[in-house]
Amino acid sequence: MTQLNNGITLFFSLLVEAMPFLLLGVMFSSVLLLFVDEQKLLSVIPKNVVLAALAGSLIGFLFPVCECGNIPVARRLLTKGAPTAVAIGFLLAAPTVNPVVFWATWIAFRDQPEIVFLRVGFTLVVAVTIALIFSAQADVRPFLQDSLTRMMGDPEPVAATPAEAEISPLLKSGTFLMQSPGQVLQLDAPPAQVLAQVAVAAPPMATRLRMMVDNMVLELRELGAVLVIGSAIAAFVQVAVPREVILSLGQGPVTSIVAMMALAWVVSICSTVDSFFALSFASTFTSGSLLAFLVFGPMIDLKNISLLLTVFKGRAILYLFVLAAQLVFLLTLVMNLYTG
Amino acid sequence: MARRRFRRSRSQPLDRLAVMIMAGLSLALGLLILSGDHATARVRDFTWQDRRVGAEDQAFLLTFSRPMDVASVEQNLALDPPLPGKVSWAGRRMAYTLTEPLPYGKSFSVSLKGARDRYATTASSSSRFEPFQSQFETRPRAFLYIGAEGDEANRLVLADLGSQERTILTPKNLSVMAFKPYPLGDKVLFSASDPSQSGSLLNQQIYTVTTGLTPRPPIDFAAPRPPLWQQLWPQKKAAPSGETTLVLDNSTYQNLKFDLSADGQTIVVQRVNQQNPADFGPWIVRQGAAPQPIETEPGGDFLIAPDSQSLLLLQGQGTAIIDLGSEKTRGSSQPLDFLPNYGRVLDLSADGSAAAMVNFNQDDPEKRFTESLFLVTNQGREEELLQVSGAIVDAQFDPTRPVLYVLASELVKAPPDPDTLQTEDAYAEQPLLLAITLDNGETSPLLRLPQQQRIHMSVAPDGRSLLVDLAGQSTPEGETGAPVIWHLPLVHPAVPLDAAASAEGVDTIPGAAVAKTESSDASAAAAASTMPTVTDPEEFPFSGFQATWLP
Repeated sequence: MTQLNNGITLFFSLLVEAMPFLLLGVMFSSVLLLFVDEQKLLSVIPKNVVLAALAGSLIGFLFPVCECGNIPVARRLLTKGAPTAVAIGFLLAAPTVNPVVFWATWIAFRDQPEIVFLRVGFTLVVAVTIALIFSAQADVRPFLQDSLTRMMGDPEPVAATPAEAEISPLLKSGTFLMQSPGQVLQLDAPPAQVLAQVAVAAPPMATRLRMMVDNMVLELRELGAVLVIGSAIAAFVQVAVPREVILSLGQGPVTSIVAMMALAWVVSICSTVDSFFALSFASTFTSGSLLAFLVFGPMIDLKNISLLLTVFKGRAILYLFVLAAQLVFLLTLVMNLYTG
Repeated sequence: MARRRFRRSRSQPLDRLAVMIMAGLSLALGLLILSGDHATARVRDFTWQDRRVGAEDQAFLLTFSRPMDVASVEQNLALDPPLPGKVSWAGRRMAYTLTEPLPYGKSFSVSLKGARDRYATTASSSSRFEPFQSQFETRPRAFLYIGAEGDEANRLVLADLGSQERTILTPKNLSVMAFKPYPLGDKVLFSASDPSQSGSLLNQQIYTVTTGLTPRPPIDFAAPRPPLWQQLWPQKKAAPSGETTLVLDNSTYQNLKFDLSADGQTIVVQRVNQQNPADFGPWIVRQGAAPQPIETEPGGDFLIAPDSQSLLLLQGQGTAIIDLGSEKTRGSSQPLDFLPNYGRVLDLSADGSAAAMVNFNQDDPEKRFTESLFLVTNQGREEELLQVSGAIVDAQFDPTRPVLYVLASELVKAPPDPDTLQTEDAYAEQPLLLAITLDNGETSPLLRLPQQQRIHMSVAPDGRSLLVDLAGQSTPEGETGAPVIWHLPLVHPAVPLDAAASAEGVDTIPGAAVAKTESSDASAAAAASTMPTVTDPEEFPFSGFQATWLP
């Protein structure tokens, strides 16, 4: 019975903590959808892949969202046709590299300022590296969920190969409007998204605001439901595998990192407050393991895997997860073994 | 359509690259783990590094870069000269809490060599600790007095016992009436009048003067840290001695008496309007704010409590406790508390838990002509420590031990004096210097002082000596000699071994007072022998009055 109570408490606390940020993320996403012109967006983003990844990582300074709020924004960036490097960089770095989190970490770790700066530095290194790896794939759609690729449209002209042109775009389920040969509009898509695909339409402000609210509600219902499931899973795992078990993995230079990364993954704590959570371990765990907690936790955790599944296919999430874990482990291990 | 095509071609460029990099990273991680631990543990932070500490500092913290092997640190930590203390740990932080008060005017070195971090105990590599060496010093043994002779006359003088030097602090044109040092000893608050002006005695103004001593207090780990730019800013050099600044003038109000709070932030001054003597009462002066009257009934003598938040003010027949903290709640002039029996507060213990108060015994006809010294604790306990037939002149708590030093007088039969007319039962007051141990209330006389009215006493901040100054002895020619300052070193018996051992076993949080067990027999036995004694009193070759130790 206590375990059930604990589980429910954990579930609600995760949900209450994440929901405002999800709302914020959905709001930013809707603003991006309706108020930002993709052509302008793409012209601002650097052509160089490394710079694009770095730019994506630093967008967090404009959208201070935590790890649940950044998913709708990253999703929107992808559908807007932003390079993969930008979206991945944003997805991994924005929860940490933003003013709110920086300030919170500074408050918590004022007597170890290196933690604050290394947190940002390591996050940028990991995010840019993974973004570069993902940009090796010119067309990232095979790794995205089908619903998303449908919304993205085709960056390359479909008629590039004659074989494809023969297959009608209407061979998808749904209601479509034939505009001109080869141009098809899906009608049962949400109105705001239909509108965004019709480039010519520029409705008045009032309409756009109303559509923005509509889109927010729509996305919040979709992602909110997923967040509830994610929080429930995270709460269940925390009850099934108590923190003590994870912490007992060890406090050595290597084992402490493993323990803190596992803890970060399981507790799924929001990046805006996780530094205070980490502070309680500051005196007993190595600095490297604290950093591993602070860098890895906001990137991928149990709760937001369900949200990530609305964007990426399982394979891509596995790559994100394993690469992030390995890179964080490598960086913090070097720190633990060579600097103490 | 497109989907189906992607499904067909299983291996995308990303798949290949990601798998390759993951394999590479796994290899790198494996090699890294196998290569072993190369880190060197070190001391990251020492709260007393190159600092000047005082009696209020009871513990220092050493923060290590990684969790340490506790035993190896405790065995290898060396303090020179040795200072007994207790060690407690919180993760990577070690607190060393002193069990004996710090002697002033000494420098200490701290060294730690050959400690091991927690992970090295199993590994063979042993010397992975960066040897640590640092030092700190205690504040100088120095006191202030108002000079009596020559150039020093009526000026504030700083006497440093370490360097055997005396420095005149205040300018020649100011005649110092009273003074109180700031908590770090870098400044002194004083009231003085200009003898060249008319009615000078009533025209005191309040000033501060620098002593030229550099305050370098240790890092307070509990206080909020200053902003980063302030930490990086170079430390300000101490002002040279003798820089006088006016704090409060006397243009509208006369300044009668003042007190400085223990944190050095608040000054309370008793003021009276030059034109309207009914406009009389305490004023509060804070840094950066205009002086404001405290709205309360006018009162007499007063004292700021050690927490710097309340004022003990004599009102009518008792003592009122007035809140100084909340400025905003003006209008409500209700005191926080009122102690009706006590007509005078002499001193408060440094932690504010107890006060030495005088009861003039007006309610009890049998004790009518006696005075009683009471210990009043903040727990509401009132304990009579002493009853004298004369007067209780002064009482001061030892800042470091549960001992109260008292200046009191007993009535004695006056010796027959052939030159003056005397009734048969003439009495004189015989002043005594007493020590009272607070654990058991035991009183022991330390010294019998010459029969005179004006005696001033000051307890050293490390509790190791007293200053007593006396008015000069009248010579046979009828002239009064120069006032004399006596230095009375105190000897405290060593704490018995069993009591010390029992204290060592107690783990206390850093900053907590030295362990005081209350009811055990061992501590009672120890308390019985904690009575200090005066050895080798020494008269200073200069003369002055109001000799007061710097904190």
